[in-house]
Amino acid sequence: MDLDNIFKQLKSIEPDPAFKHKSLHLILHSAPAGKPTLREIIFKSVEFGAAIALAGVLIYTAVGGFSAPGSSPLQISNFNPASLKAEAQAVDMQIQLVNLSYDTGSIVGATSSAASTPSVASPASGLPVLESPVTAPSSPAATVTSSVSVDQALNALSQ
Amino acid sequence: MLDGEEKLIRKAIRGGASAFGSLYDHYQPMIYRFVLIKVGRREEAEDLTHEVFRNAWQNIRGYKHRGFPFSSWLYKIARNQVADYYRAKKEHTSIESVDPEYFTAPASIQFDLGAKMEIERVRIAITKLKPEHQDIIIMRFIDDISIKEAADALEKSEGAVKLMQYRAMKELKKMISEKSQN
Repeated sequence: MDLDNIFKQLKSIEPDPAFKHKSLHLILHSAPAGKPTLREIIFKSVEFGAAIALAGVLIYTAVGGFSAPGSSPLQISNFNPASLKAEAQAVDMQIQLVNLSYDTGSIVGATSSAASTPSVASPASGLPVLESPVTAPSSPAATVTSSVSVDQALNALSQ
Repeated sequence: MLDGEEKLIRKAIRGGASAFGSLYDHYQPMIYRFVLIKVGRREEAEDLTHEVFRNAWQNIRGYKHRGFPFSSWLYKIARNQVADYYRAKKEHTSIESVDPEYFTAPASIQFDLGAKMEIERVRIAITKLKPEHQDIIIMRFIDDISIKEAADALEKSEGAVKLMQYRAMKELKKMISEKSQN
């Protein structure tokens, strides 16, 4: 097969003249090219300016520089720091009590060794679990080898 | 390259329809051939060619003349248009199953049956090459554009285009000889 000859024949392919004429006519009438008109330039400028301004406002708002009236954090009328503090302390107490309940094993161990040491600190809570009045050899709670309930511990503390 | 092309382009950029018409008349046949060989169907080649020139006309304000012929820019548009066509046409028919009636027998030139079959065989072989190899063969051997123009259209160096042309021809010959043996 002579490729050069085939290429020559392919070169002679021409579009249909009717299509060529119609296509050009449609192209030139559908989208006239040319320099942008004054109106187009103004419109494009306004569009670009507005886009930049909106982007600026968005960035300013996003970084927290915007503060509209009424957009400040809510003011709670019955806000009372003293009651909040008391509540926080109560929460702390509850946590300690919970630790007491969970660490019964360690309390038992602590109480059994309390005979030799007057005060034992719980490594988990970092707080003195049983002070000397409780762990004293004379105290009934300190000598108990079974598990100590929360109520019993509280009673011992109150005494 | 068309005589006075730069002047015509400047006029077309300013909205000169007749200047664009001259560019169209000169370059439309080669873009049509390029598209037709790649897609294989006359109607689709006509539609795509129309789209290429419509896009060119709509975007001519953005055209920057860098010393290359206008055809380089048109080929770039045509390549994108053909790529979009194949992307959109997910379930396109196999080239080999195309009804031979679809393949354009040029309106002005009539080939005999044997010649027509040979042309179609070469065209099918071209379409089986890599897209860049197809492009370089059509541009260089069918549309007769220079290495420099092809390099600009394909966004490659002239050396790369020469190498690509060599490989494309080698591949095409191999493909045709394999087909002949079969």
